Amino acid sequence: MFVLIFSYGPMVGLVMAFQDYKPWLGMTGSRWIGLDNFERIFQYEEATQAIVNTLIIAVIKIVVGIIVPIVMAILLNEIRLAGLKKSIQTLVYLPHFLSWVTIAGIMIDILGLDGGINRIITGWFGSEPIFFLGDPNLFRPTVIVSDLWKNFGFGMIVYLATIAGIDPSFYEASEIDGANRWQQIWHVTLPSMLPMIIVIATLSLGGILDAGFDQIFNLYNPLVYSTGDIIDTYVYRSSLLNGQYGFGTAVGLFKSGISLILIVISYRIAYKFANYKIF
Amino acid sequence: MYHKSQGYRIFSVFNHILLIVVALSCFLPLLHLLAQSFSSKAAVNGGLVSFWPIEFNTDAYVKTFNNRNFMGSMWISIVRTVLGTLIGMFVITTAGYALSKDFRGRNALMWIFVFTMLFSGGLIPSYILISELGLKDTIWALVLPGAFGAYNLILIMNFFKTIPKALEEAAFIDGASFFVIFTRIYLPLSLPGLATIGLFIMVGHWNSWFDGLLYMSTTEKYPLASFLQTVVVQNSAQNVALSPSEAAALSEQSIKAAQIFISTVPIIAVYPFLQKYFVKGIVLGAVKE
Amino acid sequence: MSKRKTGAWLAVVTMFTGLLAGCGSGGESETAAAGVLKDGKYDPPVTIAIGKQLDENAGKYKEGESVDDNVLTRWAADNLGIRTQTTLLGGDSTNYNTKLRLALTGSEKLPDLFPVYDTTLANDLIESGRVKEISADIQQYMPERLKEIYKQYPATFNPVVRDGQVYGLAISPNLTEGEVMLIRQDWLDKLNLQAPTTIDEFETVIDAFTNQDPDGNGKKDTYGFTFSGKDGYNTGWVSDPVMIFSAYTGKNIPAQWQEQDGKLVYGSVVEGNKEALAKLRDWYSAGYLNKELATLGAWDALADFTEGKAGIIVGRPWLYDSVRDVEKNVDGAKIAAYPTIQGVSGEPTYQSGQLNDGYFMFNQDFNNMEAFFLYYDKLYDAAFGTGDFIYGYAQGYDYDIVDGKPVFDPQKFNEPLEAVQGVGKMAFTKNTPSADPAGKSYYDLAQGVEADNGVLLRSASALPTTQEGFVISYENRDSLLPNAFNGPPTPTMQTSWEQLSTMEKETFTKIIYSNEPLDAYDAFVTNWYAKGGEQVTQEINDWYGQTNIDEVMSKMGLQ
Repeated sequence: MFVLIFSYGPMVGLVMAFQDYKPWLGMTGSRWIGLDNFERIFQYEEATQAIVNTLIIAVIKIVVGIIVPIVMAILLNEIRLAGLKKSIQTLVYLPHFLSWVTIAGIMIDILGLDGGINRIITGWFGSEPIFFLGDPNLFRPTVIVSDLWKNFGFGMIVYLATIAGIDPSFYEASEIDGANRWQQIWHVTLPSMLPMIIVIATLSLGGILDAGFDQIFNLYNPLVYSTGDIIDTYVYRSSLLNGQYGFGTAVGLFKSGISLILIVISYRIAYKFANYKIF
Repeated sequence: MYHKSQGYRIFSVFNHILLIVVALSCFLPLLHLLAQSFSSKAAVNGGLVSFWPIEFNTDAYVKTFNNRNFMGSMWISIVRTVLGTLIGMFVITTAGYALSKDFRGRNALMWIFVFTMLFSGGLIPSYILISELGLKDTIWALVLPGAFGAYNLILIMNFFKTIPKALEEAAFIDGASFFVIFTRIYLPLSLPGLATIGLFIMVGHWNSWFDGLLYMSTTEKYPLASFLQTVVVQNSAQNVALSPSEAAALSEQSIKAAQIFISTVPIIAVYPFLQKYFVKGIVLGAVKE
Repeated sequence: MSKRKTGAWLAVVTMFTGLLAGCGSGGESETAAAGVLKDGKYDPPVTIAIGKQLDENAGKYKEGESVDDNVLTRWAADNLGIRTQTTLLGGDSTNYNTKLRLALTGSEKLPDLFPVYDTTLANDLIESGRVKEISADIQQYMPERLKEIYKQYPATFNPVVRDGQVYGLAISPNLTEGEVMLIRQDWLDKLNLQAPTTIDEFETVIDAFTNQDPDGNGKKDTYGFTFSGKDGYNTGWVSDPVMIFSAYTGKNIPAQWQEQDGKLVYGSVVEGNKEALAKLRDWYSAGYLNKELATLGAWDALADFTEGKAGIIVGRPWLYDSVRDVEKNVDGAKIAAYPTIQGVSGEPTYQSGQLNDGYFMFNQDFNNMEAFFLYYDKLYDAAFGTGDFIYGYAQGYDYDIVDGKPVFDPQKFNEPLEAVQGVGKMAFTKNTPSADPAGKSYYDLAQGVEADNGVLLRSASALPTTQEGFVISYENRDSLLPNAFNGPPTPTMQTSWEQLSTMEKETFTKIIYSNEPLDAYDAFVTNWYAKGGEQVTQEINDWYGQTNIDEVMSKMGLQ
């Protein structure tokens, strides 16, 4: 019921993507303009650049965003001191609660030319300070690492829960077989986590074109438009002037379409090769 | 035993160091905010505060706690989070339980749910829907639309799937109903999973601000996240003729820091209680095969 | 289950029809009009439904007060018989715009009276046919003293006039104070320098501030001039480098349209920009400027000045109140305000002027414009120092009487407040109405006028440096140029403006950082025209030629 009312009800709104939507005319009254809104997405080279940037940033974010939490969860699980384990677990999930506005402010401070990180670089290595946020080649890595830093602790929770759910008798059995810790991780922990990893990986494909509006919007600047501008920031800037809902909806639909295709493909792959049904 | 070996010890040392360093790096920004919130306004604006308060004072906190709107919004956030989490958990666990079984049309139903994860009609229709249902200005506008999250549903379903079928079959033979199986076997056995999803839902509710701004038409009904959004996000004074006293008030960084900090405390406080479920030691293997 | 299902379907169907119908609903419900105006008061009281964007009062109301029930709304109910009720409330400006746009779908009634801050939205509202034409009402009900104000600012009507009809009016138009240059006076004194008045002198000063260790700590950790480059090079309020551009381009300042020989031209593509960029590039390379200017927004760029690293910043006079913490943190630090420098031709440099923030628009069914103007006029009492509001709006809120004298510092109130309450904003205006163009009251005080009303007393209570800044601002008020284009975005702007302004910001910034050669500017100009700038210029000039404001003004009795 919930789904029908709150998710599918509003979906009639998708027709706006094909209209020159005017709120006061409603969806029956607005002019149909076919695919014009979609054409506009690809009209300019800046737009194509933004799509490329989005894909690069989002794909890397998804990949490291899956691997790192898994690794960290396993590493954390190796810590025996329960108190330390708990504290680390609590601390790493803190950044998730700070908004990008706050974090961006702190990052601009720390990554600035005479900020903390550059003081370390110039002091310890004697090299030139690095302009992390102003160098087109460094902007993407900066965005990816900071996103990882903010969110891995939160992502880790699912994996910790999965590890916690592993039947201890598996470990006992493998220990009797003489497996060392590394082999245990490889042969017991990881395989037990695999289903959840596949699920998370698949689901995260849904966000393949979400490279992180809040983050980029608060960090980017004219020097790094060429590598940092993503679809969402591009659309935000273009529709600031006109508030055209049709265009915004078209972009959303375009993103959803691509995500759906990717999810269907990965669902098939997981089913075919791992014989695992994700949902 | 593995943890006696030389190699493992070396690994262990590095592991501890690595994790501690990472954990500290995650903590520093919050410490910075905390230090700012306890410092004098001049020191904060002068960029003098790093991780330790300068000219220590608690003004920012006194002001924040005396701010009726802040406290009112906090209460709304708490109500919303509790209500939202309870409803959300109920809907998702029951649906997840049903969907973890095979039945006719299950796949189709599942795809219908997944579809909602990807496509949405957008702002205008959602808003009209909420208005037409008469939910505007009520807490239900914040609680109901998000109660069914396909993402969480899939996660919980997968946690349910890991529970051995044998358990359920055994219970059936003993004459247990679906309801009993669900509450007595599935829920207790997937506690880590429930804790995870519960946390996700809770955090989602606590942090979401946009719906509050959209559906509430008086500030008294704003949840905390919406309130902070209006107060903390820098007012762009570009078009405004500010009087000097108003201009000075624009730079109250220490109060902002205090408000951000206070707003994260409740959720951080809840975490340790849930955390115990993530720590290994829950014995799943009640039935050894 | 089946019952719930039917209910849900019903709901879906209802909302379908709601969607499809688009407008239609929203109509006739009661606009309280029963009240009769007698001796300046409505009896029984009338209620006006308003739209409102939250302002900085939010979260600072006194105990027991709120958006709809506060010292001002109670005053109006008691004295004017007018109540206001907020039926549409937005958080920040984006959120407010969204909600107003949603109201246009017909899902709810438009408020009787609401501010509009966005020209596209104003345009949509007019097109929708659901806002009121008010030229006759202005003519009939607008009090004389307000007419005098609106007469001074005919250009503010541009966005709300269509085919000779008037669909709104600017919210308390008033020429906002201009920007001044704040300089570390202690640094100037230490290095035996005078405040710069030309580009060359400016260069000398920022060079000295960078290389002659003005803070005397033996380290090369200071520099000359901080400004923001993240969102373009004409911020219009603080951290603005626009005077450097204007020194070479005169009245054509970046990112703004200006009339030249009867035609509107865009300031970023005229001659002179290249020279200005060359200067900024050289200065940047020499270390005179904020090294991170490209990553800093206007407010962030203040930090280096407040921290005592930068020696010069440009901003509105009140900026002093925001950066004076440096005087507390750094021993001996002293800030002084100066006029912006002169251009290379000896003319003054120009900057962006601001006349109003948004427009009042009215529901087409609203039929009590008289009540609106009565209330609006009363709000101006504080600006004129007349009526009930001689010193301010409410004792204990925005002023207080201590020992028989009016006091404006909230900490010195009988019951000290953390900050003054913006009472003037508590009803339907977002900014307190003002009739004090560019800081005239400060100028009058400096001329020796006795402070006998709230406006002058309030100005007299400002910090001395701030007051000096406002005096400078008023003396140079002729250098304030409002953007000559204030209409809704033209068709080509809607499709191409984003590309053009991105290209502009990118090129300017990269030249300053020496990431691109100076000649990239010429390529930018060519590209700008080729990629839509040509058409935009054409469209904007068509717009400029089409509205005959004079005719409309006389129709409203504002000639």
